[in-house]
Amino acid sequence: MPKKNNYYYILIKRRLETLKEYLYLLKQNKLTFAALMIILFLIIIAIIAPIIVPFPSHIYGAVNPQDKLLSPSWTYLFGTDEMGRDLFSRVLYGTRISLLGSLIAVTMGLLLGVPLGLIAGFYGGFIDEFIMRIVDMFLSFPPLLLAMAIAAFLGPSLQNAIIALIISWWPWYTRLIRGQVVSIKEREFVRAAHAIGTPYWQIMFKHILPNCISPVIVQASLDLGGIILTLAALSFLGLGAQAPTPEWGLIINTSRTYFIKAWWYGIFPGMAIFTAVLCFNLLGDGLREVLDPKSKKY
Amino acid sequence: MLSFIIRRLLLGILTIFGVILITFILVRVVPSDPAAQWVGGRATPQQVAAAREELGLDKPVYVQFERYIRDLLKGNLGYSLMTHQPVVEELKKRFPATLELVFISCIIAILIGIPLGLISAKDKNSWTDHFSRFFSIGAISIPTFWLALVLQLIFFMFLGLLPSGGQLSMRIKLFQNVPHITGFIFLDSLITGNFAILKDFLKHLILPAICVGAYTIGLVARMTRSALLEILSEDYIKAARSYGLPERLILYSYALKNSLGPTITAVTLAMGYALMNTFLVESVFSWPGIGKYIADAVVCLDYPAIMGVTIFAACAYILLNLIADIIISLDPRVKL
Amino acid sequence: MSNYFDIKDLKINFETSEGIKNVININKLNLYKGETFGIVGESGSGKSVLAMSILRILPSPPAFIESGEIIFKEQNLLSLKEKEIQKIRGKGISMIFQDPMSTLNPVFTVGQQIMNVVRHNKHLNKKGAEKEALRMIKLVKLPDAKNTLYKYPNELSGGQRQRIIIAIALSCGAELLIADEPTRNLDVTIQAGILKLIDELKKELGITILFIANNVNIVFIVSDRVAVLYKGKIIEVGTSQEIKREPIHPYTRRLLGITPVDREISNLIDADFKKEISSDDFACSYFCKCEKRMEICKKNSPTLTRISNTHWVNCHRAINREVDNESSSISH
Repeated sequence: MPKKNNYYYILIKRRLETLKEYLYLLKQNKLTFAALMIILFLIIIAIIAPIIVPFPSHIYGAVNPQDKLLSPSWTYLFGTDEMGRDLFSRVLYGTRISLLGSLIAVTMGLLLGVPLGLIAGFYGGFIDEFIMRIVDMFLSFPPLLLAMAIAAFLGPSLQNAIIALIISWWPWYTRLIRGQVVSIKEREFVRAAHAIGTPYWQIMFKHILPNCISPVIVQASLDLGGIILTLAALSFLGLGAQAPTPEWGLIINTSRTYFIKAWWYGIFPGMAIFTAVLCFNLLGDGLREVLDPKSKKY
Repeated sequence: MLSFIIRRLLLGILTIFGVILITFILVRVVPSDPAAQWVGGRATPQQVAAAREELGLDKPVYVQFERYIRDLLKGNLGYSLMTHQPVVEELKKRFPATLELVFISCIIAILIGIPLGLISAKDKNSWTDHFSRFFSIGAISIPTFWLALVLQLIFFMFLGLLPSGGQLSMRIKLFQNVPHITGFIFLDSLITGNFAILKDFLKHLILPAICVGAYTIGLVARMTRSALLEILSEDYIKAARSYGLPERLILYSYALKNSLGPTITAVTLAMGYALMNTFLVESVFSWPGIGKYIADAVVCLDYPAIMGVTIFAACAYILLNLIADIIISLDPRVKL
Repeated sequence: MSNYFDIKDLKINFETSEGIKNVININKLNLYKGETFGIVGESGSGKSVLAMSILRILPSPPAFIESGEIIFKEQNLLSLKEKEIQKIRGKGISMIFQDPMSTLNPVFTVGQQIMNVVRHNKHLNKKGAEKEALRMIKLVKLPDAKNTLYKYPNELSGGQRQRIIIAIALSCGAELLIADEPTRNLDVTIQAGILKLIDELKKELGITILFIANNVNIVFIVSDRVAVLYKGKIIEVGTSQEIKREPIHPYTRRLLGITPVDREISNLIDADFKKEISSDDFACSYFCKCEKRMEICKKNSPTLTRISNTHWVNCHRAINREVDNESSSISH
């Protein structure tokens, strides 16, 4: 039916326009825009890493004892480690691990936390109390501690570290969304939808969720950086990635033993972490400025 | 007021119970056998079985849980597999060092972070604002453990200005009588007036304190800035300006008092993060606190130690939040 | 013409995401000493912007005062430095706002808030300030003044808070009071009380009042003279009797409920709402909603036409004095 096509067409056009508006606003803040570009750059590196690394065999296994602990040179841009592996290749490949790991952790955290928050806020009463008590239990641990304990007890490995992070992070989203839902729930349009007989799940996901998603988007992009940091911290302690995985935190940890002989060893992975996290933080901050309800009247 | 405190305390106890529950579940998840761990790698099956019985691992789960809680109430956190000493003793021995580090880092954070946030909010979009925002975001993006290594590199290896680790140098430890009144070197040396020790201690303290404090400075600065920005856009500030009150008075008297609540929240959160940062930083600087303890425990999978530190840190954090909540409730706006 | 309070050629612009929008464009506005001057306009007409610009408390991005003068007692307020305008705020000109709850600082007692202002503006010590605060609370007819001093804003009712705000505003001897929708958030009966109070204080203290509101009835009851503000421009000004008796501008007539909303007008309103035509394309900013629009209104800006010594209208229709034969008095 021509009329229906028209409706969806207009809807998509309007969504694209809103997106263009947001991008325009984002571009205005040069710092945020630069951060976004760097992140895209990092994503591209992560994707094509296996192709562009100068020494693909050095990423995991091959031992090259005669070239061990060399300082940075034109062949080995970041130097080599104690097994003669090119640090540049390893750090480059580490982008993949950190970004992917962070993406998985945040996505799963959202998939777990957001629906729970919606349900808790929407239904209220006992369900709300129950879910929020559990959330409080989890949130009463200082950040990182719970992840440490879980990773320690599950057995140190990269997968377990990511699982530990998912378990530690989902409560933040639940609490964030629940607070929003509780205040939106009382608004007229929700009552109107209710009065027409819209099914509950539709009210939750199509009416309420779009209105409270922006703080979650901001938090998620900040968390993408935060989880890269925490993942690296876990690996640094020995709870995350294990040798020979070229995870940034792990490389820094290994560098401690060769601190005196090869001082450059741990510098580069750390810079990589710093750059990535900084850009995600700048992006999240910029998003917060753009997405903030601009209803402040003078 | 009193009823609020009691209610909050009960809630705190409930939360602690939840923490204990979670930690208990964690312990059950362990893939390896704690009994075998306890007796070491070369034990015979009989020794492992005997250890299992001794540790009570052959009893059903709810009995174990009951025993676990009773032990906790008695203050028994089990025995550290590394040192075979009671975990509680190890914690008692090492906690003062960490506390000193966290405390001094937080003071730095408050002294630098709050003014930074203040200036930022006051002169929004000026050069000082952009600079301090960049600085704060940088501070929370830097990996603490990496910062530790970098600082060590610069100040110890290249410049030779500061020591690489420990709380006091060998020279002092061997030739001086380190006083032990409160257990806190900073206070003890101040009390006894032993400035040589104090100076030495401070030299050792600087780098770890900066590392632990970096994240917290950024955090506090950012939270102070956003709280103040929100307050400064409120109507009562506009009204105060219209009455002819000068900006300075408005900022330092009005706006600051209104920002007390969010600031306390920020500082509490900062202390939590500071504690976590000590876990990462102490082993780099060989600082003899619980951070180093748990870092070592993690490497050799000393589960009782990990468990002990987790419960301890969680309880400390809960207590901290409780105190913060009580202070915030003193705000006249909060209707109890 | 008065030299007490004059606004000349005031243009204020706003920076928005869609470019620069002109928010205030006022040629001439005069206040006489001792009168109550009302400004009536709908939401978005620029009333609050005008009020805040007088005391220079407009947030400067995004608002920019492009040009103009605001002359108070022979001083151009817009050219004063920050320190100098601070001397005028609270002491020469004072302001009261729309929402009494958000205008009071929640963490100070109301007594402290009055005392803070008095101590700074009048350089009194603590004891003197307390006495002044008590005097002001009694002046705004609040009972039990001594205990009210120690109350927090959330312990008072809406009407009581608004009285405190008036007390603070008048505590330092202001001669001109700008009242920006002071009764909007109050119940009708409380409204009456506050308006009565403002009137009594005006007589007692001899102050001049600039009363801004979007409630037409209130403005006409309270004010000696009224100006109608539409999209930042004054489209009609005169004494309240004159305008009530003979409103000329189509917008004023619609505001006063004289023009019945018939099909033609409701079509206009719909068209404007759907933004099928934009008012920026035409010389007269009211063109899109005006049922009496003419060809000349598209290209030529309307000029200020004199109806009487005190009554001026900004409309092409006024030149020909085309007034409908319908009854032109309000049937209240």
